[in-house]
Amino acid sequence: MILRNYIRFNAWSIIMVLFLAFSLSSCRDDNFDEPPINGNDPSLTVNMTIDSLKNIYKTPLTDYTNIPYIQITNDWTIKAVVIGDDKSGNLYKTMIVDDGTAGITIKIDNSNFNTDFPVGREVYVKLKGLVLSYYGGLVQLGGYKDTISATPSLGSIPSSLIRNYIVGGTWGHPVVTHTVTFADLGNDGKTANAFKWQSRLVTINKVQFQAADAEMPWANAAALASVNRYLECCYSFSSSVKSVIVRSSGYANFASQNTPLGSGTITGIYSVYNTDKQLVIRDLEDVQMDTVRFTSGACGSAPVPPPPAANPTSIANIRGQFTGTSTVVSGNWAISGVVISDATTNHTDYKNVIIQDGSAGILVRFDAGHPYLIGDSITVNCTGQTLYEYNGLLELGGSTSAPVPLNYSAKVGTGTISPRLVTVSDLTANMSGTTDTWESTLIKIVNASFSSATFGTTTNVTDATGTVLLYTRAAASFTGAAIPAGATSVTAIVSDFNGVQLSARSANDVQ
Amino acid sequence: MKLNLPLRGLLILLLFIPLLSTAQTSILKGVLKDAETQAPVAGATVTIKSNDFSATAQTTDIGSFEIKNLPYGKYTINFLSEGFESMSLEAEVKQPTTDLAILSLPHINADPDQIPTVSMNDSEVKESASSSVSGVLTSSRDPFEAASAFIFSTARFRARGYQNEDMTYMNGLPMEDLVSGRGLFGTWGGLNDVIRSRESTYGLNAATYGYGGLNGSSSIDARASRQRKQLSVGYAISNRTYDNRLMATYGTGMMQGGWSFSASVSRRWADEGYIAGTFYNGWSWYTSIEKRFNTKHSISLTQFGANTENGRASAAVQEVYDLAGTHYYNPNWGFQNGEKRTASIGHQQSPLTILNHEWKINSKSELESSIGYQFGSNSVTGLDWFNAPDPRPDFYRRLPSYVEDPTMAAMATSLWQNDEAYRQINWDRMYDVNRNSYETIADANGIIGNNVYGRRSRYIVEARVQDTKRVSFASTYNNTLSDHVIMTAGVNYQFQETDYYKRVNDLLGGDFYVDLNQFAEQAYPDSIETSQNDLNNPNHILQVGDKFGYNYRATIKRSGVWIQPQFKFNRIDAFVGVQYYNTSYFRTGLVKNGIFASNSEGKSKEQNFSNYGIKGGLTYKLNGRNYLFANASYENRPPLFEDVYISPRTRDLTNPNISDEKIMSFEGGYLLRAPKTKIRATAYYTQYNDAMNTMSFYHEDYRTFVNYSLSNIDKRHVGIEFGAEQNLGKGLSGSAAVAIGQYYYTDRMNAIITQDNTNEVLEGNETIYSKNFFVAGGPQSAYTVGLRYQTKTFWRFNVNANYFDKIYLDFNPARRTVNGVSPYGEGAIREAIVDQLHAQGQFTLDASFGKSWKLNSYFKAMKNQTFFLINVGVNNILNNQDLVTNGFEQLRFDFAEKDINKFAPKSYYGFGANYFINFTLRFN
Repeated sequence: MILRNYIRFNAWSIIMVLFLAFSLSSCRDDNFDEPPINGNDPSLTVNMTIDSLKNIYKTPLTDYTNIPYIQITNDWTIKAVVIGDDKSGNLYKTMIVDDGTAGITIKIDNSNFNTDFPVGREVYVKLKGLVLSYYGGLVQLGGYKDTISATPSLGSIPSSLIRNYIVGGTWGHPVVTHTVTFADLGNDGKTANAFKWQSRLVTINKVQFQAADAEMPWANAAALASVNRYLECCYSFSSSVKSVIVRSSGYANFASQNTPLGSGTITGIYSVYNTDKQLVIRDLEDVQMDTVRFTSGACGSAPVPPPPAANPTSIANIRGQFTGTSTVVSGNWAISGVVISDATTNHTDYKNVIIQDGSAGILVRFDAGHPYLIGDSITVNCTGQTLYEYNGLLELGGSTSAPVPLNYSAKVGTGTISPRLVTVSDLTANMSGTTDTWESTLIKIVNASFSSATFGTTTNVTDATGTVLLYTRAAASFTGAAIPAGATSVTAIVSDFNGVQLSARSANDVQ
Repeated sequence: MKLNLPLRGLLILLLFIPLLSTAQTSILKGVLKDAETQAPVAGATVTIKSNDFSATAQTTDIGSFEIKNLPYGKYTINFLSEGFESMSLEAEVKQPTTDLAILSLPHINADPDQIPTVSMNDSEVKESASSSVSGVLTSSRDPFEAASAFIFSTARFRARGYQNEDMTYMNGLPMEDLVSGRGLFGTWGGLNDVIRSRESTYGLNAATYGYGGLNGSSSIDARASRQRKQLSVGYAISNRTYDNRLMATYGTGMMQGGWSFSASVSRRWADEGYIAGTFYNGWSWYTSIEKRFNTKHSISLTQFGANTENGRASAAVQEVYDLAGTHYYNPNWGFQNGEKRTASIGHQQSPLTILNHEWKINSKSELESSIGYQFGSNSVTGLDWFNAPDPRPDFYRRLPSYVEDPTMAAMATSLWQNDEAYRQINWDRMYDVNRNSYETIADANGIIGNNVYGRRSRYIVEARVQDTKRVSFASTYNNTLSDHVIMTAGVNYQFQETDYYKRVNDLLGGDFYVDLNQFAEQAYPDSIETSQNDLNNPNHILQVGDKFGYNYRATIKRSGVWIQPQFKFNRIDAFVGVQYYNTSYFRTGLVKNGIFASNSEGKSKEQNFSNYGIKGGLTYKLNGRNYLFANASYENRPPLFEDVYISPRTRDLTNPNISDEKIMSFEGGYLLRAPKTKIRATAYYTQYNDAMNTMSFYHEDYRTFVNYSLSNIDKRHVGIEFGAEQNLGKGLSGSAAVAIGQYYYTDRMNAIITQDNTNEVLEGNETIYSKNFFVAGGPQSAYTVGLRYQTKTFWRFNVNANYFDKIYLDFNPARRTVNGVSPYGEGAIREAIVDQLHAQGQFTLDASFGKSWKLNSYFKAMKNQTFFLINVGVNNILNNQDLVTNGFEQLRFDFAEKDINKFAPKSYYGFGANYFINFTLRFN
């Protein structure tokens, strides 16, 4: 009996041990591994900017008689930061991104996409296969041309395919807003400035809602309808500048709240609808209007916004950023140099200044006439400015639409630049192809002869090594002046008009 | 006082208890043999039981048994042996030695360990934490019942199309969830060894332990003295819902001093079951201790526990199955850092304790009383989200069919087909989203000026929890009034309190969640209050473990009496049964909902119902082998809590058309019990009238639950059942079973349509044109033929060929309305909206074999009788993966476009080839 119990007990314990062993061996940790916190940057190769994209298709995209549907067939990728999402409900299934050169609106068929692409997240947009079009002049990127209904429209990127085109990067990037005036945004929604600023985050100062639109609901929440509210500005503008509309959706979570009575600053995504200039606020944080109302136009002309802070760099570095097409300077940089052009003789346009910092020089085109005299040492803030080649001559602010604001420059002292002593063949050697290393610098050629007795547009300089054009434009004060008899040297700025040429500052440069 | 009537009944019963007289004693003996091989059956348990005496014995190596000191009287003798059917017979002992001579024990028809293979799937049809299936309990004796329980169940066949009509009693207590009317099978899940001792009836037949249900009843006796004296340990491997099972069971049988003790523990687990993303982890345990004080009184305490956690599968639309290339696509899981994680995890834990008192009043009468207490929690997890895109991978807007542009649709198709991660939940993305979702919550937790800043989760894992407490009491009295009359009567009382709420389970990388109703924010933009799920704790900042969303309690009481005399005469057996019971219930809102501030919190009006049932039956004995029988029943039944309250999650609104359900049922047939042939043929007819049902579904656009509260549901279940078994000799036998039914609605239903998030009634009194639609759920026709071969060396082979047909998909009532079809007149569009879908009939083939060894024959030193048993079952050998076990139209319907494919029907498929292999080592 005892033995029997013992055997049974033993069998029982063996079984229990086996049981435990089996059970434990199959245990797994219930806690799931969690993915890394700050997202990953997929680091795709970026080979396109939004500004370039819009400029490539600028003609069809600004043909307001015929809606284009341009399917992008190139393997282009842009990298941008989300500046507008649907968190408040004011934007619906449209995402706004900006890559520093420009902004664009992307139509995606996904509500509440702000979970994945909130303001501040970096995104890569793979453009191949997407379709570029506009709605009321607002450039949009979508998935396909929707021809299901009688009137074609731009179809949103289906939610199931967003991941094929939009790849999220890291989160929490700062979003830059651009301070602008009514006039900066174009006279109306179809102008070049409107095209340039649309889908960018802009801030307008000294504004208030017009009396009829102040203290009124932002939108019609009951009918879920959008409403336009008109702004007015304290500054005065010419009557051709349309005022800006704040347009809000009835789906916005602030739709039933009232617009402010006071004046102040408003930020939003700039949009156009035909000739209308519209602002879409992202939420009420974008509206800081709590100072007393003003009389419209009471503040006089609009001030020019100050330049952002910038670090010094060489002119050569800035020139080096030029990619061959219109290039926005990357980074906050300032250059300084000594003025080698002479504004008093009009040998170059009155808005231009040519500066040199030792080895390199550059032409800077301002948005207004400047006060700088030859020999002044000045700084020019290049941040956000455009490098542009005009018939072979590299200019900062050269593109007609993007001159350098004059307040981005300042005189800091005086200096002198000694001209480089060169031969004509030296000159052509250093000004061939893309190696325009001497462009916009001061040179001097000796033992030269002149083909004409007067300064003009066809005067050639010849030395033992070759001949180069000494071009004096018709507007210059010394055009037609006599070249001194027996003159053998010329001091001039190296210029380019689809080929090297020289520009003398005054008649005194030829001796 | 609801108890009055039943208590009075009990007192009356107690008053008439006659006294016991002493008796002479006898020796009872016999020899047990294998019915087919005529080999002795060794180690079988022989239990002998009368109203005032019970004893057990084991058969010897030559199959003989002997029980001494047996008082004269009438006994029921039970024989139990592994691999054989349990058998019982009645004998009268009235001389010093009673020799039963040779008794033949038939082999069991199917492996009792076999469990229905589709068991975790019925999730979305009705929101319920229950994932258990009945079926194992049904007796294996009758060839039709055996086929129904073990073969047809793999196709989700439901006998006679009934739902929850088979009552299960555990140690005398009715095991039923009073809110839903479903059985509580999960309580003893995994404890197969313990629940073998059971009695069952089929159809309307009378039982000795309760009034029973329309489709019979089972009574499990888990008291220690009823458990086999043994130590057994088993290990099973399978590829069904779990991969492994370990089970150990120990029983002392009745020991000296009147004590008996038994215990069992089992673990079932799988890293991944048949369907991807369905892990399984279940522990079950059981103990019972019993003390017999004298010949009259015995008390036992039995405790069950099961703690089961499993990943669940969900039904999907056919488009998704086609894209994924498998009928076992499961949208509930996804990769998290490369590991599979399941969003839908069921968890059940509700231990049950039962105290039993058995009182043998005299040789003719007995009173058994039980009191039970069960408490526990069932929950199902799932994703919840706030102002975020739907994260479910098979959300209709994510499917290629939703994409209009053909080029883009082709790209979406390619993604679906080729990228497994894309087809599943994207956990990493949800973490990314939550970790970058910075927000400030103003006036958090209701404190003005309390601004909480942090990462507000946009996605969470929530658990929908049901916490239940149940008390039940039952007392059953049996008295053999004469040779012709056995009287059975009982009283019972059930009390249940269930709390329903949601709980935050995982913030998925965020810092908090907020207890707000997103839809109400949109529907009532000017009101801050309406968006509050709990006005008493507004802007509640939620952490893991916090309750949110809804929180209410169902309190239900039921008390009843029943009486059921059975009569036995030479040619005729008869019975009648009557039951009467009271039911009352009410809802208690535990939070004040912002939209329903006036009727969400606090106790609702109490609903009271008094109901009765009567039934009766006759069996005409043509001779000892041929029987004709006919039974009838009429009852009315209170509507269930969950059908009366239209939207209990938010408010105490009830369906204004509350009615008792009336059920009339008839069955009749022929029975043959010959030594080599068994036949049963039955025809049945059941008519349900005035039933109620509330169906809720999540409407993605409304972002809330929409409720269809149906009333005036009339349906009819008619059909025939046939089962036959023929011994062909030489160990070979054949069997066949056929069920041909028609279950259909006989009238138009009424619907009230509401939604959880607004007070407006979407539709007040909508007529559902449902007449002659089929009742869905499993095949209405099922056929099987089987062959069994049994060797003298205890090998057993079984093969069954099965066919299932008339599988109807559940229909969406909203489509069968005037609104559902307008403006379409006669024609294809209208037909397509209205017609009920059915799945293709399917053929399957099952096989099994088993063998047992008596180890003592090999190891002479062994003192105990020791057996080693192997059972191998392979279902669906031909790997037919096209058997729809359950299908339903989505309740959401595209009313605007009337496009029936936008929210296409969803279905589940039965497993392809699957197996279950069990090894058991048993020391008797």
